[in-house]
Amino acid sequence: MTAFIDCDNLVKIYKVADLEVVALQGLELAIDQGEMIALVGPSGSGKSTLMNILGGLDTPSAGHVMVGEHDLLEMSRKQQVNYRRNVVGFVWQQTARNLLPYLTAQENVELPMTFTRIKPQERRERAVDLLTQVGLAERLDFRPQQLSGGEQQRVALAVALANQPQLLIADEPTGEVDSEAAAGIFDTMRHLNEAFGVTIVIVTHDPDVAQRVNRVVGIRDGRVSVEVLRRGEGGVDLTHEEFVVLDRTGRLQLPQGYLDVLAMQKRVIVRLHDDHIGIYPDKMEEA
Amino acid sequence: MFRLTLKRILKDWRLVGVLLLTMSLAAGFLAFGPMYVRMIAAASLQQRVSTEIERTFQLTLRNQTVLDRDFVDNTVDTTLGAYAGEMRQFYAAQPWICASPRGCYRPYAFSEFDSLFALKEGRLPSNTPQNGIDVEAVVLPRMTEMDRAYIGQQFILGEDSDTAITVEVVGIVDALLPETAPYWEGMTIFDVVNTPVGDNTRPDVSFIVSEDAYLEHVTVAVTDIDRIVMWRVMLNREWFTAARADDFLMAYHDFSQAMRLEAPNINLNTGVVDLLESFQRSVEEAQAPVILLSFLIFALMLYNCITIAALLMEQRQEEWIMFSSRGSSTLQLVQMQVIINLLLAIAALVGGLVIAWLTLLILATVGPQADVLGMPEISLIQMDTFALLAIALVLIVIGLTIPTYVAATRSLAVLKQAMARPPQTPIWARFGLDFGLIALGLIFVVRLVSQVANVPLETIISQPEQLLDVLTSQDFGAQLNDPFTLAAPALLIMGSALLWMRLFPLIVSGIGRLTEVRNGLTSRLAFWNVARDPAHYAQLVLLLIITLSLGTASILLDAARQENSRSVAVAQVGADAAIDVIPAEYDDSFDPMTLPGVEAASDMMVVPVNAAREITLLGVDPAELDAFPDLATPLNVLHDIAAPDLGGLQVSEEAQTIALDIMSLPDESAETSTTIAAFVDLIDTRGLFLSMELVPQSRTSPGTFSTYQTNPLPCVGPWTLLGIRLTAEQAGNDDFVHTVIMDALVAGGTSQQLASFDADTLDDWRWERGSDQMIENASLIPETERYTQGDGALLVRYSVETYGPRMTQPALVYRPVVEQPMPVLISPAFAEAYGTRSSLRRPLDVGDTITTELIIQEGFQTAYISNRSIPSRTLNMRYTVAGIIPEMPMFEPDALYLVTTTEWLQLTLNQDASLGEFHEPNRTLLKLNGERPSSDFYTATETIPGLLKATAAWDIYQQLLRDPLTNAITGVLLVGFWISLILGIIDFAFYMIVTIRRRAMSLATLKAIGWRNRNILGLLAIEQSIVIVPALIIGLIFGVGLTLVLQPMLGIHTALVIPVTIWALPLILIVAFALTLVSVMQLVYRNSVQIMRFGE
Repeated sequence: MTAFIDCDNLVKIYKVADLEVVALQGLELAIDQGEMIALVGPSGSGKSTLMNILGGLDTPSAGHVMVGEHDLLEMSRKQQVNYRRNVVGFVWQQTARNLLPYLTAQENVELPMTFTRIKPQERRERAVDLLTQVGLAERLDFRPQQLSGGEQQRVALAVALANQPQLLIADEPTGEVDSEAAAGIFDTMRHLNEAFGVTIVIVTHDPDVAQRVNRVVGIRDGRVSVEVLRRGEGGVDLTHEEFVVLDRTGRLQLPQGYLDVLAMQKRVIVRLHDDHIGIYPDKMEEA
Repeated sequence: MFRLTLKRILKDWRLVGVLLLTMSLAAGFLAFGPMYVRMIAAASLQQRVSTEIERTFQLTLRNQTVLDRDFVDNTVDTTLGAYAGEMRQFYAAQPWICASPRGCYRPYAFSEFDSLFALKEGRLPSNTPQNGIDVEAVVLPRMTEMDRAYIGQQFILGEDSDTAITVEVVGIVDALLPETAPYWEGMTIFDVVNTPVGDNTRPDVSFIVSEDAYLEHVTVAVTDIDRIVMWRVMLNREWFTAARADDFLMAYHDFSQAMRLEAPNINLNTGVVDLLESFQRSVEEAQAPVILLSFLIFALMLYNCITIAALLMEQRQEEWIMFSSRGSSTLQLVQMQVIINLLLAIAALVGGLVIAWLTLLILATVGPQADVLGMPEISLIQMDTFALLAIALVLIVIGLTIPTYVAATRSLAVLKQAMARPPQTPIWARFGLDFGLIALGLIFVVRLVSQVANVPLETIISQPEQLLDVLTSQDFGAQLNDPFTLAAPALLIMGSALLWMRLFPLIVSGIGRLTEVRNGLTSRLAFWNVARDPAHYAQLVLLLIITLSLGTASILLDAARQENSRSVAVAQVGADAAIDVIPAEYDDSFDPMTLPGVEAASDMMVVPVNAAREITLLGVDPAELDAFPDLATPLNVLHDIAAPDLGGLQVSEEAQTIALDIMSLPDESAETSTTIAAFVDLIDTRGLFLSMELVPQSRTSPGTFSTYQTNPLPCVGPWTLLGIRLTAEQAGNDDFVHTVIMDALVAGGTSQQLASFDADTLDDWRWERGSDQMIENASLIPETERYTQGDGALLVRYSVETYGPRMTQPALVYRPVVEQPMPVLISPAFAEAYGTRSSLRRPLDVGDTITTELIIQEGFQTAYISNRSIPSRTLNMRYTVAGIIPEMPMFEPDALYLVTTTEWLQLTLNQDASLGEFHEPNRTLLKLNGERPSSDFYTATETIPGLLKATAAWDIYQQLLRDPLTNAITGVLLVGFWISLILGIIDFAFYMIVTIRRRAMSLATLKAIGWRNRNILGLLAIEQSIVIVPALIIGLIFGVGLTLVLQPMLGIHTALVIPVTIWALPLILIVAFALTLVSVMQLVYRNSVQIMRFGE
């Protein structure tokens, strides 16, 4: 089955003054439709860049990225606007970026639909429906400052889904709320994922969030380095395994800790065994 | 989208309010200019209306046939309405009707006789005369002088015996309206008119009959005359205001059309039309340059609006980022803001009008011209007001779309976190657009100067200083209608602005490096902060420079305008004040020094001469002029001019007569006795020539002395005896020789003996031509010898011959003066005009002597007493050029004038004048002890006998101050300065708020390391200084430059005047920005506290 999001050898280079910064160094990632994953990684790892690309805010310097039927490398500016409007939704960490303080919850949800040709009546109905879905049916006329942090983020989720996007990108959605609220937000996201089949990518540093998704993708130095898959039934983790991601060209990133322990630096020796590949430090280098 | 937009407006009502204020200020300014022009012109019109002579407000209709009185009344009422006051009708005729017995007459008839005349003597005319009289008439008192008309006088009008009428004067009436009333204009009913007939004059009399008598008898009897039917309507002066100018002109047009439909040849005349059309012209002439200047300043304000809007949108950046993330396109973001801008523009249409109106109100109350301006009226708001408001707001909306678009694209960039990257060099800087624009601007200037101002290109290159002369010349101002003229300054300004943006960061960095050598962090930080964001600071400095230039130019121009107006006013009058009199009615004993406030006085004679271009002959007393240095200096040469020599014998002022003893010797060969006649020729210091007959005081008999004496000498004197003329008559003999003996020429009534004729020789006496023939024929010169009987006398044997119609009359003249040309100073225009026309065929130069023929009016030309008919005559004026005056007060630079001493001028002009009409001083210049005459002065001048008018330079100065164009330009600059300053302060305040929010963390950090609020205040104050100090210095310099360029364009030719008030500008700027800084500091206190809490 073709992945919903398919990043193939994605490269993004920024030029800052005379310096070139390679934010993505041939990243490869595949996300199926309806998946809910977490994207983790240290600052400067390239996850914001990847988010910008997936969100249609930026174009890669090289490589290939498909979101659904949209080739993000080949989109014109107008197509990018339509993509941001109809295919992807955003939830930011800061409330100020998610909600307008002078609009009610319902009006905030209607706002993205204002930029489309949806009729006002339909807008209202959809807004009410979305807010009901996120459990805020009684808060339609409340302004953001009248809502708790968690409620604000749930409204933000509704706003992000206003135009029925296929992809929802959330940047630290629980970064500014307490754990209880964070749990509520996350439950809402899972509900929306199940109810609407929307693919959700959560960028986070929160280990709790990472534990609540079935798949965690770790990015380091502009590449996907590790993945953690959880398999379970009925919300109970049955298996939890961490993988080092192997890209199409056979490259993988070894955890830095391992490298430090074995003092592996420039060259390693790779030996094929019957059921595994052994990677050994270069003894001659040590010598 | 619209609901969202409205919610955004409500949410940000303060910011929206600021934007609305900004738009209203800018739009209001653009609309203000033409309204101000109209306001000033209205004030000027008001002043003219209040001081204009009554004649201006008289409407005269003249027709050759009678019109229905009701028709005329109704037409006046329906078209002119309340503008029209009293109307009177009268009849006259042209030319004079010569009647029998001898005499010529002019009949008048008045429809409103009773309101115009009162019986003084005799009775009023009856419509049913008796005793064979057809028409009864009355005359005014002066008509009866010298019995030209009298009660009981009868004369016959009409050549046809069947229709001729007999007219009898039955009464004398007084005019109830003053003689100077405009109603009497052109009428000859007050004085006998001496109509020239060949070499003589004919006294003509005007009489008044009833309307019925005129229509039924006079017009029937006399058919070969032009009948004149006239109506005079007095218009109501108080109705003529600026607001009604158009209305009256339309009403007058309708009136004219209605009257011409009824009487196609009717002639209509009123001075009000010229007055109002002059007002309209002054408005039209001032509007274009004012609107042009307003647009230039508006461009500055538009730029201010754009920077303010950009700052406002920066405040809303987060919101725009959110919109972008929700899928709004750049176009949709722009659309949202444009809707707001359009709604604000509609509100600013009213706001702008309010701003414009308030500005007018402020200027009328406390502005520099508050004392000459009246309160603004609704009529000032016309179509162009709304048109300019609309244009301004359209331009503002378009202009504000630029930062909207920039903010919209930037929001996406911020969303992409692209704003973290350092800013790139702007495109214009990368491609050197600033240098390109400056180079192009200079090329346009060269084109303009060389092609338009006619200065060769090589001249500009070799003498670049000529460029400045051309740019500041008056001719250059006339080139503003060439659209390419504005391209030059526009390109230069744009290029200079961009160059400033390029240089400012370098300057700031350079100064910053200099401050690094000092200890202390504050100034280093300040310069570093400015260097980090030089673009906005550079823009703000540029805007302040232009703002300050406007204010400086406004104040300097106003001061120069006042000074120039003062100089022009004094130059026009020639002194602080001048009084013009009618010499015949003036009391010579009146001393102008007794007028309140008068420090010096100087009489002069001003004689206008009608020619293709009017010439003025001016006679002055150099000694009296010393108190008037502006006149004395150019006329200094007159001190060296000797007084004219009259020759002759000075007769004592007390002399009552001239007497001469004459003995007529019998002619033995004559069949009849000889009757002699003798005359004395006299001249006075005014050049008036008088020939008086010496009449025998007793019966004469040949061979005995008889005393021949003149009649009493006329009071005009003192006299100089020029000579004695002799003639004789013999009945039936035209050619004979006669001998007389003359003795003892005395001044009667005194002990003065003018000549004894006792000496052997005639000494200073000599025979002068009595006719042209005496020069040619020596035999006509009388023989003289000493008569030795008694004390001695002079025996004269002379021939009497007839040459055509003339008989020889030998004249014995005393010390005759050879014809002496009048020494004069002339204007360059006169030298050119009359030199090229003369035999010299070149402009006159010092030392040239020529004769010019002029037509001058007898006596004093009374342009204002138009009911008098004054004859004119030809004068052959011989003069020597003693000097050429480049310029002098009282005259325009290109005027034709000739100046000499009063003595010389009188002698020349009065050589053929009569005792009743001669030229004498008619103007007195006055030096006052203050600039403004007191009310007592005005009151006192009204009582001067024979006053024609009194003119104070102060009044002309007040009039000049009301000149619409210069007033409006100055006003627009001043208002432009204030509005630009307000916009600049708003811009600055917003920028400070935005940057303080942006720098909240860094400021809090400074506080955390120990900085106090006063240190932060110092930091911000230094940053402000970087903005204000260059703006102050450069702005003042640019303002002076702008003034120097504008002055000649506005006709102001004084040197730069720098009033003390100029220093108020930098003070205002400093205070305004200091207050802004103090206000913004509250934000610093609040923000820093918040930030610190955030870190807990």
